Amino acid sequence: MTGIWREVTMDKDKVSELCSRVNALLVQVEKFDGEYLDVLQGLDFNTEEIVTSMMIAKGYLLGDVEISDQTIPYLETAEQALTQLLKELGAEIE
Amino acid sequence: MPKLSKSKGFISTLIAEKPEYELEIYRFMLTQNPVKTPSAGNDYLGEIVAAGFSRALAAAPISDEAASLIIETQHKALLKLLAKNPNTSDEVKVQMSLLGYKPEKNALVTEELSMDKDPTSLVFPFSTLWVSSRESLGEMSGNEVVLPEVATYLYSIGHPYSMLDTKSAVANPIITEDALLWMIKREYLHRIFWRELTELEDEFDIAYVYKERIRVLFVDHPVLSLDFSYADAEDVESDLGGAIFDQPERPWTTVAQSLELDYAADEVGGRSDGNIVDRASENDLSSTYEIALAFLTYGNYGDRDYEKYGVSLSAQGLDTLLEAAEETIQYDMHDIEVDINFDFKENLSWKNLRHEKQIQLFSLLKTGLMSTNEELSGTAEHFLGCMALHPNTPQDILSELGELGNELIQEVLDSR
Repeated sequence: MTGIWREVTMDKDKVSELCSRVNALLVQVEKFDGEYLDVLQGLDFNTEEIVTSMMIAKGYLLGDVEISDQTIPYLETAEQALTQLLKELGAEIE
Repeated sequence: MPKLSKSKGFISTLIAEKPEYELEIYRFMLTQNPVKTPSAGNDYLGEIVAAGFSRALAAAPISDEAASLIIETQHKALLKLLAKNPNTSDEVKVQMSLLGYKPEKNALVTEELSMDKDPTSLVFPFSTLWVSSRESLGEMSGNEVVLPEVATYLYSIGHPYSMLDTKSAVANPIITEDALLWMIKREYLHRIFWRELTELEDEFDIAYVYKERIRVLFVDHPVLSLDFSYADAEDVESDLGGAIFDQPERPWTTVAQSLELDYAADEVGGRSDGNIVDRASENDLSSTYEIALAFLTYGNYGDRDYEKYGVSLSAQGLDTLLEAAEETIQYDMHDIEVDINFDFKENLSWKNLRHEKQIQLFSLLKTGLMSTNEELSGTAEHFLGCMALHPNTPQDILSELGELGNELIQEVLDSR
């Protein structure tokens, strides 16, 4: 297996909840096709990190990706960025 | 093996050697219900024979006398097949035309066809035939049977397969270059020697090397082919005696195909320009997801994403990535392991072959060794080398092998 595996000390339920929230935002964002990326790039976030973090959240929920404590800040940032993005897009957060 | 593909079928050979037998073969085949349809019975091999005969009638070289035999039957299905045959003489064509049967405009015939359409071609097991019909592979694998009645008849008129048949009585087969070519083309000798030597000799294995369109199945042995498995496919000589220039899948082989994770990640990651954002803007997120898995495995523009984000792929995630890569990756990026399929119930055997037949096969290979066709002589040399290596080769044949004065064969004998 590649990558560095470190045990997540954070509550796994909370990790799952965080990933679920990011993934739910991702599902909403997807409805805007590629348009959301233009808006995201205009926000004060690292777009590449946000897109990668969205995919990590999805992968975690699918059982494809294992995460560590190091991943959590990226996921939290992605949640903030996507929330702000949806507001910019005029969507109501479900 | 372009040169070997020009080998003739038994009928073509026999007509050249013993023309009088052609009519006998056709007479015999006509008694075997040659137009039986698949729904007519459960005798699968019988149907194969019928199918082989029918195809032969439509394409193989045929004498006027044999064509007259068919015409005499007045059998519509047979006449229709004969009318398709572009090899009939003008006289036969006129006769057929008068009977109301006209040749098909698109009928084709080549040297290669003449072998496949030989009525005897499908009487005997032919492994690559099965490979071309993958659906039947499972049920046919390990159930090779030569139709005894037909085989016995063909042996009686000199068919070369008799010298390979471990169960039949000793016959008097034709010993010609064509007979050897036929056996090589059908991989009978590969099956006999490669299987048993893999089983009996520690240092003998089959091996496969490939690159793009170059595919070579051969053996790895310190004398017969030193370090073949480490060879670069493009450096393998195209006339390497005994080698099979084809993909390795056969009923008598097992092929394990695996993809290294590096290649999978490169393949999937390569679908972007190394930038996941650009990819996400152009495509649906499911394909972006696969690329993200690739980057998380191997990196993005040299950054090690898995280190940066502190992630790793689970076993399931690795499978997802490998499956995504399999959709587009080239065959030659796979790691391919080939071995003998020991679950295949092989009827061919050197150690179980009667001594008289072993001598016949030795004579046949000796004929090949002296051929002016370099590819044939190289292949014969390889199998004589296998014979020299085989622990069950009797002493009298070993002595004769030593008397051939062949460098490779002598080297094998010395290594025993």
